Amino acid sequence: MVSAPPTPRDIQVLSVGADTLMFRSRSWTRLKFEVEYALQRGTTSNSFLIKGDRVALRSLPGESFTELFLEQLQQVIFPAELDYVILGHINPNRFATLLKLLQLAPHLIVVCSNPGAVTLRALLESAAKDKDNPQTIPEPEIYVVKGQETLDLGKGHKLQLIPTPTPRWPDGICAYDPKTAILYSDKFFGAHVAGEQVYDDGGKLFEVDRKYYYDCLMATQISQVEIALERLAPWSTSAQIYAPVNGPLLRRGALEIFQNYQAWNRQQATQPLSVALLYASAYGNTAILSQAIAHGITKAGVAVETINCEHATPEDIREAIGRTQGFIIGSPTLGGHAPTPIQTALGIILATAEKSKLAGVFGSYGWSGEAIDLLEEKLKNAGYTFGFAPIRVKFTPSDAILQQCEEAGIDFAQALKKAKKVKQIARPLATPVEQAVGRLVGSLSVVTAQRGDATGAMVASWISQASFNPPGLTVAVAKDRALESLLYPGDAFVLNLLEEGKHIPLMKHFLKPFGPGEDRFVGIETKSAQNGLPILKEALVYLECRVQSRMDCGDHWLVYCAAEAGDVFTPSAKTAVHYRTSGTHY
Amino acid sequence: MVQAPIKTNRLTVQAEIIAKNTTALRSLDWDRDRFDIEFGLQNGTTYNSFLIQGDQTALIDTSHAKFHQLYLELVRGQIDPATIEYLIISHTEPDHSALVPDILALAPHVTVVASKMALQFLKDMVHKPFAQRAVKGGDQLDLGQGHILEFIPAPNLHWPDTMFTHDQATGILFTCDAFGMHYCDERLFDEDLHAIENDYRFYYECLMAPNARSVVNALNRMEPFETNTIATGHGPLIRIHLEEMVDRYRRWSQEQSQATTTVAIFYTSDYGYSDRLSQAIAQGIIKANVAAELVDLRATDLSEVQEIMSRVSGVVIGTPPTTGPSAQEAQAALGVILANVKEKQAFGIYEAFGDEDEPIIPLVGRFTSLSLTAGFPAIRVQSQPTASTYKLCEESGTDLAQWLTRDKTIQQMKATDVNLDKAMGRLAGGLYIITAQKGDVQSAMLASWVSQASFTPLGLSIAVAKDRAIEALMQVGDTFVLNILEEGKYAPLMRHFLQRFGPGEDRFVGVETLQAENGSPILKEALAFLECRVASRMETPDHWLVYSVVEEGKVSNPEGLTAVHHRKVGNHY
Repeated sequence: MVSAPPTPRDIQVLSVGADTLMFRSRSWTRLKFEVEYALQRGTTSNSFLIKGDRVALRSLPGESFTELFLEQLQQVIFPAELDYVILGHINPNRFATLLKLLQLAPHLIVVCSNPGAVTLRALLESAAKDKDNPQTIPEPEIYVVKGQETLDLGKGHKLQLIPTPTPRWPDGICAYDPKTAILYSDKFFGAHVAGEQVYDDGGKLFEVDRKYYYDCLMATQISQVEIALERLAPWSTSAQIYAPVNGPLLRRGALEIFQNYQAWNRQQATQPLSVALLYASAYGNTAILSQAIAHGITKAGVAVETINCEHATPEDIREAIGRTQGFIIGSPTLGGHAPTPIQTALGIILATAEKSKLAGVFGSYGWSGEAIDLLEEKLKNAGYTFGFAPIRVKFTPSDAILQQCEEAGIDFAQALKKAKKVKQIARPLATPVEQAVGRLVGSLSVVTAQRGDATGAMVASWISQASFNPPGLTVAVAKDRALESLLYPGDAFVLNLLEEGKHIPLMKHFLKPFGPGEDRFVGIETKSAQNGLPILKEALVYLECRVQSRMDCGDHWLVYCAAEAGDVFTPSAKTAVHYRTSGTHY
Repeated sequence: MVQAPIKTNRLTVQAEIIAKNTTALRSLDWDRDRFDIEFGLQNGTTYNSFLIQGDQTALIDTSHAKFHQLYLELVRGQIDPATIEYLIISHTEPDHSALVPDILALAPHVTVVASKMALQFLKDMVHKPFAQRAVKGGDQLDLGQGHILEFIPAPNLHWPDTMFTHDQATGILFTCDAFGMHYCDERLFDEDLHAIENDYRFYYECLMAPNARSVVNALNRMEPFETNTIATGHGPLIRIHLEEMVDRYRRWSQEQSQATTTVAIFYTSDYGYSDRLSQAIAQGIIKANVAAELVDLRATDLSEVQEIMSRVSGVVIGTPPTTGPSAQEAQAALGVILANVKEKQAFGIYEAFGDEDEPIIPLVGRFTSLSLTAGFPAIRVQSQPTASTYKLCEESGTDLAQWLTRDKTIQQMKATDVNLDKAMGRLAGGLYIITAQKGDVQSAMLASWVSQASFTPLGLSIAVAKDRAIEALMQVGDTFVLNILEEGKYAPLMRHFLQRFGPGEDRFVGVETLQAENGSPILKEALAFLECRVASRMETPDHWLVYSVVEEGKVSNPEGLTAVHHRKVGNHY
């Protein structure tokens, strides 16, 4: 990864249409450890000020921008002149900014959906009770958007409000302004990228980031995304600009991204197996874990239906359990217990889920994780089989924990596939064409990669040189490999070529099954490459590589990278070559 | 891409309103019947003409001669041709202007509006007096109802006399060859970028890249005009991905103009096959990372020829006509070229196959007597060019370019970090021979940068240098055979395919082959063969990574092992 510039966070203010200003709050470095930020390109939180005869503010940045944002806002408007603030995602982080804003503009009307209003009232109440931090708590008027409604700001800005609830953002709300032809698309079509670039100019520049954002946040809630797309469809073609709350705005790729979302949804919908992922989250940590697990499951070709138990009805939960072949349940521990929505969900599972369904349990906690023990015990006693060992995370997750969750997700999906025999029917003999493909040979190697405190290693023989200048090579990596997420453009890794005659022990070591998050390098001698990654001392050659680009090749990615440094340890020895008789296995 | 069975060519026409008072008249040519390099992707093409009906009516361009009846009927269906006041000719290449005489006959009062040079060329095509108005950059033509047309010169895109037309009322820019592509489909606009981007790029490389400087000039000139649609002469109109597509032209052209070595290719437009053959040679030069500049002998200032000669490293000339309308200009330009050559320059000559060719042997003699080095043997064209003629031209261009850059290549090899270079060398691969056949063109190449890339579908990746002749036969949809060589038996085959083949030379003389189902040769002495179809490609600085799906295959000797290629350094194959 290109190291992030040491730029402090800042806010870019610019006009994006008639009477419309955008505030791009830019974080250059990763805010927190969540799968969605794993590409480490920073992000922006986009807010918009629309000045008709009445003035509306759309979206607010989080707490780390509160001071900066209010300062910038007051450069262009007196807060008292604001009439509405339209919020699609209310959480404690954004609430901090809202609270300060309300103190400056007490007459501000908060426009949000019903789940948003519930969260907001709860947050206002707990702020009023907060003895450590006594302050004046305003009592703003809350306007609850019930269905598709119009909010007329005058001067042609007849905002069409479109509620788009999803499990992850039950309070999601989009808006279309016919005057500027801007579709405020909330989380949809977003990307986590910070930079100078405001729009999606430059073709495929942000394509990888946008797909990654979809994979992390949307792929696990496709039925709600589908409904949202249907609601947005009437404006999808007339809109000149799509304005998501994260990352660059879309103008040239607008229609294309809409079509891509539909296509990606279809792809998920046609997976033969699916898993229900139920969770509730107190401080967002359990939600973060659920996202990482879900990412691993979808990567391995199994669909995920995410259910936020706080906002789902028992009926929703029952139906989802009935539709899917496995379930995973995650819970925080509050005062030594699982919260009520989780207990309800557990009850439904125990009452209705067939014993053949694969189960999984995870959660985060502060002092003790009784909720996780409870879930594990009840499910075990009921006779369910677990797809991975229960995951317990104390406080907030780190890179290594996210990777562990992702690997657990992959294991779960593979166990499910095995159980349901979706894997190709075993054929006793390879066909002539498979035998012929088996005659393609390659050098044996171990790829070692690292990001933050997450490390990975994999045996690879589908490798080849690919360019002279710069010296470059390709590695083919299966889409459902955990290591795949460490091989995005900009990532560094080491390719260790193995030595003929000495390769067996290393191969054996790295081919054995590892548990999620297990250290792959125990008992292996390594040293650090210039890029900080592990070099295997017993290898013949090491090459320090940096990923340049990737091509979609069926069930694999072909990863092209430039070699930046390298050396041969034993000049007299030969590279180990991998001979096979069938192209159906590595 | 499915190989179309041989059948009569399908021709259809289409008229659709694209903006206020503006209709696109498209002639759809579904099947390829030309072997010019520019049609290499075999997706057919369209010839687009446009009708603007303000208070006065103007027709922009016409169509290819093969659409004679269909096109004239289409026009009649829209309007009484006698009421057309202006016929705007963006350039005089026959595929857009062949039906000009017919329109003149149907519309006796029409005034032909074109650049001065285009009018000159037209005179030789029509052979009859006609009302005309010569326009230059900045001139306007008011058709009423806001349709103020302004003309923008865009010479060499891709003909010397090209000009764009901009309509103020609709924001449409009519560009004819520029921004076009050979892609036939009923969809009027560029809705599906993925479907068309290969064709867009390929067309650019064939027709525009050899004039990259002119492209940049034209892009700058069109910038002040507010444009929402580019109405091209070939393929879909550009509207939905307008900025993106224009951007790509700029980016590619800037990349081209960064090359430090340039070869000038002199040809005579509208004479024999001079134009098409020169494009094929240019294509081969560009592949080897050398810039090519196409220069029309009948339309370039002598002082400009002199300037070009002073900065190029190589010169390629198509035999110019000795008599006929362009003979005088062409001969004068040839004189200036000969007067300005330098000893260090490399040269190459090809026959244009017009009726009045300057004899090729004496012409070659004049260059060798001036101590220039021949970059490739003279290309004799004794009959109408076929696919293999164009292939020969392309390979000749690559040979010339590689000769020019040989020192630089060696320098680059030496510049790499020694340890890294040794480490790269340890990436061992198998030994393979790729054989491909497309129409009457065959090619073969030794390869070892090959690896399996997927299980479902069974697929593999191959890295192919951009300047390899076989690269042109490995476009998306093409088929080929990968022959896997056997340990202990590979030496004779390897030696055979490593010899230096002349451009167009048959690679399979003395080698036993069978024909695969996809038509490519299978080497009988190989251990195994795989029939492959190219699914996608990814670019690296000097190679294309080609991902192909394996459709068929067999091992001939189950006991045999694949031959392996161990190296000590990574700066050669």
